[in-house]
Amino acid sequence: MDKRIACHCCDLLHEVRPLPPGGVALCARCGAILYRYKRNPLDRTLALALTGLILFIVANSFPFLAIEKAGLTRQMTLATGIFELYREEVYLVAALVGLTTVLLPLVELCALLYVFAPLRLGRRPRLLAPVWRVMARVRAWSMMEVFMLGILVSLVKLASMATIVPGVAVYAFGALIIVLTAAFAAIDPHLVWEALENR
Amino acid sequence: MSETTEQPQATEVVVRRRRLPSLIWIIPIVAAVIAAWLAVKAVNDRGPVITIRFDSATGLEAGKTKIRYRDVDIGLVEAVRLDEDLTHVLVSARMDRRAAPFLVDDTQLWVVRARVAAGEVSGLGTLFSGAYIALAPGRGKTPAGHFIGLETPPALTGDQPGRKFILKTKRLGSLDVGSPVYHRQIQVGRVISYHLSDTSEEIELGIFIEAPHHERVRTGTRFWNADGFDFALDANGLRVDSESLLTIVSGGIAFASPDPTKAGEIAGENSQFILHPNRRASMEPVHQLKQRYLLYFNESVRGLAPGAPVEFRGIRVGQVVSVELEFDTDKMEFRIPVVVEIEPERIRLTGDGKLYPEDLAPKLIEKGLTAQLKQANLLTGQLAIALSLEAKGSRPTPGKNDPYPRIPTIPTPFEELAGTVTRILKKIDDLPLDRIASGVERDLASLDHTLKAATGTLESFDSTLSGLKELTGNLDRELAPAAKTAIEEMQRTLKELRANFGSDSPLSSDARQALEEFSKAARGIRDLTDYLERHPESLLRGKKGTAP
Amino acid sequence: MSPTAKEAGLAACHVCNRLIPVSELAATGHRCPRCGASVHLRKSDSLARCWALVLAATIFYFPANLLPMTHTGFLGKVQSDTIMSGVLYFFASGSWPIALVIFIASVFVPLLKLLVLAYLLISVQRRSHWRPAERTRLYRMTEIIGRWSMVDIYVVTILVALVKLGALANIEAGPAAPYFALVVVLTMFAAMAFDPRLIWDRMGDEGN
Repeated sequence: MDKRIACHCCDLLHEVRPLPPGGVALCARCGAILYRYKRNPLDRTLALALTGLILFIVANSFPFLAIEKAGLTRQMTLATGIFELYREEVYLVAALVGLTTVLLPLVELCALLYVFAPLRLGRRPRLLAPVWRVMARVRAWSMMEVFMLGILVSLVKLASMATIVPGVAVYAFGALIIVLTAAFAAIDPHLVWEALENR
Repeated sequence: MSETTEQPQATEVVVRRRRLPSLIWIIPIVAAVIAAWLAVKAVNDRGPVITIRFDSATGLEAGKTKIRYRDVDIGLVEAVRLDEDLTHVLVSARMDRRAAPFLVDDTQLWVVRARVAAGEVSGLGTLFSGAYIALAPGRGKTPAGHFIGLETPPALTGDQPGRKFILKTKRLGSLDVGSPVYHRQIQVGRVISYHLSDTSEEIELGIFIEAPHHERVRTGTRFWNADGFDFALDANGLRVDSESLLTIVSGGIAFASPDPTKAGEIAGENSQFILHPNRRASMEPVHQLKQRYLLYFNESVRGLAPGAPVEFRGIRVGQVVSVELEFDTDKMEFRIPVVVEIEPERIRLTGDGKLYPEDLAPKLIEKGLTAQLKQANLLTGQLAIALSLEAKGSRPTPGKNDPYPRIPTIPTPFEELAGTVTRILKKIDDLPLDRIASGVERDLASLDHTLKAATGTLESFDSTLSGLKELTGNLDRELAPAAKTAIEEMQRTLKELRANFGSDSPLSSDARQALEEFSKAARGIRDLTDYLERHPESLLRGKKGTAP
Repeated sequence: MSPTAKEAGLAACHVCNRLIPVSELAATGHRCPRCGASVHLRKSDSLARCWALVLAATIFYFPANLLPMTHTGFLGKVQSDTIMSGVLYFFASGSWPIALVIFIASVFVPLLKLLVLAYLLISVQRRSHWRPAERTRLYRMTEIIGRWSMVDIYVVTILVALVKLGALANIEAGPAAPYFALVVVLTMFAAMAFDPRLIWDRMGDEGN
């Protein structure tokens, strides 16, 4: 296997060398992160992806937020927002929100499980290459953490007007963001590349 | 030394596979446990789904309309769809688990919208929130899943303590479901239903009296229709009754027990009562025994109307039922049959008890009872019927077609009436009206004078006040504060006095107006007496210009 | 200094970092032999694509900021809010941290992104030598913060879904919402289309 790596930012070629625990390899010229030290990568990635899937189900099936005002209450789930936008014929926004907060995170989770469950069991998933490619593309468009910020801003916006009660799903959603980030951080791409090489 | 030293053999390490899975797996396990617990809880909290049938789905929205009991949400409408035969709307709703015990066969559900009816405005909140379905739990024990929704809010919900009664009446008036029932002008219940009785002759009203007031309904309690003002202009003069201003608009029922000592026992559920047309009618003692008699008059009965009292020595013993006009084609003459109702129970009987009330009237007729028209109210011209034993009349000859036994009548001597009138006229004539009127005028002038004098006095009060003010200035420094407040008090009183008696003050202008009014009336009386002196007959026949 | 991959005659796969000799690229159909992703020495048409997307985003930036983002009905009174009027409302009502967050995420960041990308494009085209490391860092920053502009879209989504209280209070999405979404998406695509290696390439051309 090629022991060299090109910086994705400035194209400088580097020799790959082993890292100490917790270490990070940076580009010598532009400072971009090239690779990190990974500990127990397969178990971590897989466990966190599984946790993520459970949290995803909870976040999407339980009430997200509830508003109370003058004895009136209204609950929403994640899907309610997308549905209301769709009903108001703001299709582009509805589609964008649906993709970035529900569909693409789900794709990411499924891709993680599809890639790492077989790898953990010492097998190579059949569609490893295309799934891996899709996952790399999707990452930039999964914006759950931005959505979380949106929730916080909405809470402050509505706090003076009505009482907002966060539901179980909000907590699940917050945990999902952390877990998914941790899952991606735990990935050691070299393992995947090795698996791709050994076909 | 052996040969083995020349080529040292490296032993391969024993590789042991990890026995326990990595600790990281605790995270998904914890997540799974929490998710499972949430799921189980959610499933457990899900109550039953019920369906409700309504005539229309106005204001009902799937996923939005709530079902509420005492303003607490206990369910949510999940779907609104048409019945198979397209005549009704079926609403299915997911209920809370807590609501499950309420869902019995006699539970009532209705749609709450903004509503203005029967003297109350309800559901204003729904203008903002949209309609909701209200629930009143029933008392039944059988669980149910299908309900027929009510189109109007029920006047009576099953969980309210109290008692139902039935009132019978001939006319509904302005009463409606929801009309209030008053006791001593406090609302204690309401009308919950009305329908024609089986014979269609009466209306049966269902009323509900809330606990603890239902115990005030005794067997001897009287109910009356309290719709609005009760005007009555009769031989007894004008009377006005009104239970509550609200009943003028929406109608209402009131009840009371005429004689608390004879109120009787507490009335049971669904006891029947008569709804009297007004308070007075309800308060009259009920006389079961009513005997009808026929009276024939030949003179004018102008002023005699059904309901007019029948009196014996000035005490009421019955009333006139009908007044008609008959023409006898054989004799070619008019006569006026008057049917009266005598209530013999009004007369207390003393003696050995051999005579029963029902035999009293025939006995008296035998002894020469006669009937006669009598002025009951000089001003209104109402007539009454006076019975007497003194005047001797001819014995009645029972007619062949008389529906009732007859009481002989004796004509009212015109002189008697006229005599009365002349006597009255003479009295009026004798009144020193001129002097009264001029006296009133004099009084007015002197009052005016007094008022002026009062104003003068007030002016002098005013100067006194300023003097006092000066004095208080002095006192301020010299006297104790207590004395000062006393003087200030006095000052205030004086000011008020001035305000009340000053020439423009309300009190004095009121008095002046009243006096003017009075002098106008006095002038009117003088005009009247002048007219009567010239046309005494107008007292009997009315003023010429207006007489028919 | 060691050579770049290009100088060594190698192209790096963007997905799996595999180095492929440029001479073999044509033979593999510009596909990575390891993961199958398309491989080019540099992102194809980077400058033109990036310019096109930046210009499109700039055009949409105006309706996104001038048209109302939400229509708020409160007790029968309808009020339309643009992004800026929302910021001013929060600033006036004293919650300036929120005002700042919305301002930075919704107004400042998209504008900054457009300006930064335009600057990077111009600097690459002018073969600037000025501080390539800093310019690369600037590019990485725009790529990271760009997604946070979506926050206003999400706020609108949540408000629209939650505030549906009949006549009491009702919020609907305004016409600016799709334009704003387009600005965010287009600037993200623009940032992706830009190839930061060009910053160093052009410099190398001149330097040698």
